[in-house]
Amino acid sequence: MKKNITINLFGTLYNIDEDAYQLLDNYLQSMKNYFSRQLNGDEIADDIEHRVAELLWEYKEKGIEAVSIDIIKEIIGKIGNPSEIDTNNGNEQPDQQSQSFASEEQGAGSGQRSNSGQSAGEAFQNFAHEAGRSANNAFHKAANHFAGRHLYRDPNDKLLGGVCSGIANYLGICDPIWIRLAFILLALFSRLLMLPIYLILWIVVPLAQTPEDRLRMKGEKVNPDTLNAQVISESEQQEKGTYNPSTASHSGCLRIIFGCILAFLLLPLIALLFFIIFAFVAVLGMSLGLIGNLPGFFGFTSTSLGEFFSNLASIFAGHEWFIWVGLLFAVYAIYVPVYFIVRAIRSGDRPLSSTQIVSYIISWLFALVVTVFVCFYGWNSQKNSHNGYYHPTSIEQPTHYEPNYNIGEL
Amino acid sequence: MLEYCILLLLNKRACYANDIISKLKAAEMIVVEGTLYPLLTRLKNDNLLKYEWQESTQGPPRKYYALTTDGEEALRQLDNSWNEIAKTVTILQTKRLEIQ
Repeated sequence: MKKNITINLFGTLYNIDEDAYQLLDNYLQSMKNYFSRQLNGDEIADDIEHRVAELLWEYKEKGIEAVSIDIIKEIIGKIGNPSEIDTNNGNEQPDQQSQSFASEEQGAGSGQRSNSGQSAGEAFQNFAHEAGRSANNAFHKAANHFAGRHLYRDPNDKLLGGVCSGIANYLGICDPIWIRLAFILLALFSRLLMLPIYLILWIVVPLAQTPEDRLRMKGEKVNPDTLNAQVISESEQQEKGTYNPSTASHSGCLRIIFGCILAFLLLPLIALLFFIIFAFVAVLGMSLGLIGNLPGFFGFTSTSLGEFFSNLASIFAGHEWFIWVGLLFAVYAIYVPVYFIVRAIRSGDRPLSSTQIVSYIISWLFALVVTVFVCFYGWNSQKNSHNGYYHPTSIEQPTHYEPNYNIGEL
Repeated sequence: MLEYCILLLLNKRACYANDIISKLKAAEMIVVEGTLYPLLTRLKNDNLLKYEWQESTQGPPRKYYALTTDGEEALRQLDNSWNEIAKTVTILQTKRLEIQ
């Protein structure tokens, strides 16, 4: 089964398979790119597009409902790739011929130029043409060299954002596991500094969305032939089922481990998000409550907000890091079921793979255990010491933490 | 060479690309169809050909190419030079045969 797209070519609609469309689009685009360097190149590309439309029409007349990739391959074989088509750029011989032919015709047409002037003009024309072409060639070589490899995120082999596999592709390492391990180790040793770096890379580095990107990602040459080959091979892989967008170069077990590690690395970020939302709501509620209490507005805010932020500060100061960690796990323990409920309600998501589900469940159970453990610990230590830990003056603080434990026990 | 063939084909009547392709194929002249389009455009730029759009009952609109007066002139010249070349070649060929 393949997804089908309807395209409009010069006023006629054709149903075309998605991969076939991709191939056709590439083909026409490469024609446009190729001929745009020439005089009236747009027109040539347009003519070719007309020819494609005509051939598609013939297929339609024959009663073929949906255009498959094989048909497009056939059409491309018939019309030929840009490099095959262009007699201007292919080999020297026809070029010279046509050049002299054209100037001969010009001479015949005007018939007024003197012979020597004509040959000089011709020579100059040839010289300029040669020079222009060699400069063009040099430029293209340089461009090819520098554009050989691009850093892209790899959509076909990703655990999170495809950053690591993208880097692996960029560096030419065949197995992204090494980059992933390095990332995780760095994340652990750099006190999670790598997390924001990963996120920034995720945002900044583009995803290799088109086959062209995927060729560049692997440092292969991008020309119409390789591009077509790439589209065809991707479509074949897709047909065989080996080309799964979320496929991995790792076994399921390894993926589960990675999934768990990633989940816990992401945890602080998720928790921070929850915390910011919580703080925002708290501040909002406080200020809303204060508006009704206008007379003592300024005095009241300064004290209560000050208290609030000192509470926040004491949490972040991490005197009691154990509770802070417990809070993170608690948030995660809530996050997982909420995530699954949201997914269940919202239809149209791609179903989770079994490895994803297993890694979620394992990490969730772990988080649950840790949360419960921390809750008991916190409960006991609170019973033991009556004055609270952080601020001898503020009595509310233990109650401030209370809700978090309760959340954890949910 | 291919230009000459195209001019020859278009001498009799206006054709659109598909006609030209099928005729060239019949004459075993063309390998890939796409070769034709840059040629046609170049000939048009050299003012040897003109074209007009015609709606078609089958498929997209077609470009019908025809020779301009310049094109006819060029074709006559090419005919002459081709005949000369052909003459020379046949003379040389017969000479070679005689030697053998």
